[in-house]
Amino acid sequence: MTLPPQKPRSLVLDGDWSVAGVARQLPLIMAYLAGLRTELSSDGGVAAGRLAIVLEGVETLDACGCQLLALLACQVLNMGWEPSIVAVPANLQEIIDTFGFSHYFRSGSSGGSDR
Amino acid sequence: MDLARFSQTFFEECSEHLADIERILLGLDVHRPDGEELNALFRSAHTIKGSAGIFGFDDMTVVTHLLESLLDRIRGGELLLSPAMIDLFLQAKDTIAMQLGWHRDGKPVNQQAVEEVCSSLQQLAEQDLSSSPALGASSDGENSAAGRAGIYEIDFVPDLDLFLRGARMDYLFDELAQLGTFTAQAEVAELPAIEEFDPEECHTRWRLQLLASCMEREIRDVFEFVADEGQLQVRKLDSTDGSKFTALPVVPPLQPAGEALPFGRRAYDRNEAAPGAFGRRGSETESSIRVGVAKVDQLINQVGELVITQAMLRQMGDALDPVHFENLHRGLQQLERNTRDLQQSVMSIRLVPISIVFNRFPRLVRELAAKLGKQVELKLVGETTELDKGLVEKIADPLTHLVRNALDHALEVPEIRTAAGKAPTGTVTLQASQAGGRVVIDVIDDGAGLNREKILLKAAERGIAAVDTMTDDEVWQLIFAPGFSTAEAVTDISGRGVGMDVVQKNVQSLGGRVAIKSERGRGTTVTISLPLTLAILDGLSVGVGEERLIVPINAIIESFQPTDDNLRTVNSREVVHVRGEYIPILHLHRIFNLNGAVTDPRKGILMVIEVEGEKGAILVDSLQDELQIVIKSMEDNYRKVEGTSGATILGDGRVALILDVGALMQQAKMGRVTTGVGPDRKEARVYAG
Repeated sequence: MTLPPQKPRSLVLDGDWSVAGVARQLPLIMAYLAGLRTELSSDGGVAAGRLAIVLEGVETLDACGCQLLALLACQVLNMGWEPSIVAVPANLQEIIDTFGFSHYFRSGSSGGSDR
Repeated sequence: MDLARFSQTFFEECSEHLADIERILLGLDVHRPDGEELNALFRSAHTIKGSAGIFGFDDMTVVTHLLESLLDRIRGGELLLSPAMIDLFLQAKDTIAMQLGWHRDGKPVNQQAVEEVCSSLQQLAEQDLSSSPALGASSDGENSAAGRAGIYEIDFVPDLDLFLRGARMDYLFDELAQLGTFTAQAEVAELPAIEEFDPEECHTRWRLQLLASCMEREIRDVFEFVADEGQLQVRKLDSTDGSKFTALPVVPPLQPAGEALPFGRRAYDRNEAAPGAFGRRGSETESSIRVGVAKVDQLINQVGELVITQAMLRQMGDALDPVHFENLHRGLQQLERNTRDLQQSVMSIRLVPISIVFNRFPRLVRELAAKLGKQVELKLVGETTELDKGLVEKIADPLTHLVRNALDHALEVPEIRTAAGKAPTGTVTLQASQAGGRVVIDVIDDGAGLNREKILLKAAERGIAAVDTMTDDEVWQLIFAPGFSTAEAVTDISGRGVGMDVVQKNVQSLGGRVAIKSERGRGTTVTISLPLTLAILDGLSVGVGEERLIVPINAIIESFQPTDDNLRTVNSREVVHVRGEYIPILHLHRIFNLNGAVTDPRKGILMVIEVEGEKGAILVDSLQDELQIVIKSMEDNYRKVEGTSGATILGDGRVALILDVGALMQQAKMGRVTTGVGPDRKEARVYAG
């Protein structure tokens, strides 16, 4: 996972987002959310806006990974940010749709159902 | 993933399901089949199919798919069960077992038989539905819904460990898509704080809508392995016009084109071969675990060594002053109790019910009876009797011989039975029970009984020494001679005379005995008596010369020092007179060629033993200790020593032979162990070779 310094804010995800890989992804997500929270609470911090979750680098995704993505989206939303997924490969979008998780994300450049 | 690690579990589970299929098929009432049994049949076939698919055994999935489809139609009331179908399904079961044998042991598969069964199943499947019972005939009326599209709303609230168990939601949804068109909406609920969140746990629940022409049961089957009662709600919505079906986006199956799943691919993924990932849900596996027999045997062996060590310690402790070493003695006593408890617990792991063997006979009897034109009722009694797993496996063949013999030779055809005033249906009873430290299995038939004259005639023809004055019991023993058969004709069932001697040999190799009782016109009972386990024995150690020997406790009647009044010579045989009985004396020092032993019964001790109703008195120098001993194989560690069933290591580290009292008695009867009077040097007969 890398954190692009530029705004608009985006979060680039990669690697294994299946049940076999989610345990490795969670600490990164937690660290990112903690950083985001700090930024928001600090003086002169960024204003909440749209957070693009970039899925281009995600190699594997299953229902368990979708659940973690949904959790991320909920957390981001609770902070006042509006999450969306972008650069979603077609096969991943299909997985998200099939498993019924698409309503958690506002889709960006790729297709997907509105929340 | 290395599936080979889990294949053994699959093979075992598959064998169990096949056994269940056979058992249920044979017990089904063709005219009024029990719905639960039909469901159980379907589930077994379904599980085999799914598991075989996971392991890539596509040949098995093809047959099981055909079988499962038919079973599904039968339980749904679309097809009427018939005796011919039972036969075909049994053939299909045999075919799957054959395929399993190929994958497990590399045994060859008869492809022609596979194709024939598949073709027959296919033909049955293609039967015109109009000739089948009306769909609406089902009592619950559910079948009437089949064929008409409807909308089902499905709420699925899985266990937290759904993902960890390896359940594959994409496969599950793909199966659902095969039923119709569906949409899904996931809700991530009841989440803990993110710091406490376990990402591998499933906190998601799904609501699905399915537009399909199927029965509710088919939907539930899709979730069979992932949802318990209460975790799945299926409701059929009133509206079938589709207006309620637009709330969620319609999604296609996930599987990429050209990568079709094998039949029965179930909802299990990367841990799809993990224990509990196929056939059983996690909660079901918690009550038991599968452990390899080799591991259990290793454990038993280690406990055996512990018992020997404990015996050594006790012997050392016995030499110490009980007052000064009171605490040590108390500790050693506690150790003995604990060791014995541990040994009993470990041994019980190997005990399995004899039903494992008995369950193969309904099929055998059914088919043989049909072949022979006889009416036979099989009764199974005492199926829960437990005995060592090793014994169970080895007793199957001898029992099969006996049952085949009973059907082929003993039971009469209905006309003859009726003429003899008997019921036209003959009975074969397999009866197991525990008696003392042994398991007794009776094979009882109510047939014609053994023909004494015919046996004597055949014996004379074969040059076997037999005279008219022999008792019935002695005559019955003749049928254990190699190649002995009184069958008029050799059939593919029996009659080649390769049965009873093999039965006796196999049973004896297990430390067992075979006895026969027969009454002309009323039937025959063949009794097999086996030790409960092959690994431990309660024995009494006796001294003979410099050696110590072990006599199994369960064979001992009494011990005493005889006087001149007790001792007699009958027909040149040395016997002891005990309460009206003349019991032959067996001189152990002669049998095992032992020096320095007591040779005069009046100066030693006679131990009366009894095996299968036969008594003998063995002469020993002294009685020493009652012990629970761990049996060590002589063949594995040295070589076979006639007259012994093994050896053990005593507390002082010495090796003691365990007497096979039955074999000694048998040898004495046959004259190979002399019981006659006379100088020891002439009568010495050494079996130790």
